[in-house]
Amino acid sequence: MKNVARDKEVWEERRRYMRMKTAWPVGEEFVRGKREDFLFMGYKQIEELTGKATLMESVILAVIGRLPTNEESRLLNAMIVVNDYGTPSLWYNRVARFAGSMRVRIGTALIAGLAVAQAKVFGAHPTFLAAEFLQNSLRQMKESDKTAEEIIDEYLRDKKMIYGFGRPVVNVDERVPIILKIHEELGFPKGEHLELALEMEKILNERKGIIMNYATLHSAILSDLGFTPIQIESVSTVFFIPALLACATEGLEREPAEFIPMACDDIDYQGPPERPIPGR
Amino acid sequence: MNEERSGESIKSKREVAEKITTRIWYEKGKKDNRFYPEKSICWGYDFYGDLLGRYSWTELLFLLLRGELPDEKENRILNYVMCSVMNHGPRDWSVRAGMNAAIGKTTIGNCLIAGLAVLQGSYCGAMDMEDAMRMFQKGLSLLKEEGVEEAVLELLKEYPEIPGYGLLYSERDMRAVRLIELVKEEGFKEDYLRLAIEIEKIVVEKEQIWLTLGGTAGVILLDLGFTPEQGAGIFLLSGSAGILAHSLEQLPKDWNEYPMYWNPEWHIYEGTVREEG
Repeated sequence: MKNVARDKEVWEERRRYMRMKTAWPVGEEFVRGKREDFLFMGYKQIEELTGKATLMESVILAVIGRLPTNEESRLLNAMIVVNDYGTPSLWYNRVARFAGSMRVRIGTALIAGLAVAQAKVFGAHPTFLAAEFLQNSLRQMKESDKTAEEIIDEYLRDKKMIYGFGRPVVNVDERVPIILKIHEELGFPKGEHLELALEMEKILNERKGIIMNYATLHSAILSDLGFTPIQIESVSTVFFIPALLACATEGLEREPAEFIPMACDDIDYQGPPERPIPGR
Repeated sequence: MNEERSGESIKSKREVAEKITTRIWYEKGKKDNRFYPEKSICWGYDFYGDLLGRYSWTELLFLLLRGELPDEKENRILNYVMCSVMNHGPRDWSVRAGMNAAIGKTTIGNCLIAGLAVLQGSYCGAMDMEDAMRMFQKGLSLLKEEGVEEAVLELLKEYPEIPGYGLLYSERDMRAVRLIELVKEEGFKEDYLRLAIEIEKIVVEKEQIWLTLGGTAGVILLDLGFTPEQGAGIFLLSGSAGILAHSLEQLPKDWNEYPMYWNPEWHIYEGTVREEG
């Protein structure tokens, strides 16, 4: 955190204005207190977007600052729907269900679930890490004539984590073939990030029997469309919303505290045996 | 689509729920009601029978996190650290997040969630402290093999952002200096603190930055034996007090008693401008 502005004049200037790219009032009427229209990411919200842009298009506009093409929109829709895992066995869904069961408001339940989904081993953050890995690897390959095999070898030798390959519980990812199929059907060519991901999967599969998981596919496709790792993670965050809303709503609609209550002996206590408090 | 079949339940044959393992807490169920806790055991101690009423909040926090009760000095130092970061003040972004939530009349829990979400950032927040604590841990292990200067330089190569060091609004954070003074008066072990001060000597020369309050709190928590994750948690737990107080103060106020920044004179638009037509 060393990059701290040292100039007090900078603080003075910044305290006077709210800088933003996301919105802007449009029209003279606004200044006089009548809300005529607003810009959202450069588009007039009421005149140009309302009734015209779909939710998916609005999300993409918010994340990358441009409206997607029809094909991009359909592809991204599929990429979100394929991730609608509704089971409360998944940690984030279970937490949304807990929250609903404990009568927390739906938005808070959603936030709790989304926070859980910002994990390292699953959820949205691995797409950021996978995207960083793919984009950095491609850069390295272009700058130094390194091969994908050499990069993987380096990671394996240094025992560094390669994000986006392998999957807990099962060594298959049902989301990959269907999204690859839809990607092709919509007429998208295999871009350089996707080619690299597939090449790396081949190498890792031969060496370690590890498959590419959905995080890498997602990151590769969106990297080819020009998304940055932060933008890729932003889109991934939306994956979780439908299932979280379903789980939270179910929790709220059922009776409180009914969701997997535990008996005292359901806890396997492994701490010290009962002992007296120290004298003092 | 298949025909909808609602209300049917598909049950597995499993009768016993999966168990959670823990070393922290055990509840002894009643003979005729295995859900009712007759006795609560915390790291071996009877919580309601023996601990409650005899030990303070920070002592019991220490016990929860570490499995043993602190001695008096450890408890005093933990209190210094927790008090030093209990309120970041109404100008701080995390506290303002709580206040913003409160003025909009959400629940107090949501005010805490809003504030704590902001307070955990890697810029001056809990993640910065956690990173700093990891850096100090690495530093101490390097010191076993190398001289101080070599070890510090190697460390800074691995942590170019130098977590735990920086400026407070362009100046040295004197709150950190005060916290160090207090701990030094206690005469507690200073393995990590000494290392942090050595690093500070070098980064002051190179970058004109000093230990921040969060960085200092992290170092002292390491000397107390806490891990980086525990440290980040203690930082957030402490900071929640300030978020709570400032949020509660805003809660009953009218929404227009808090800045809206609504007037366009406040705004600078840096986004896309598209040509008409």
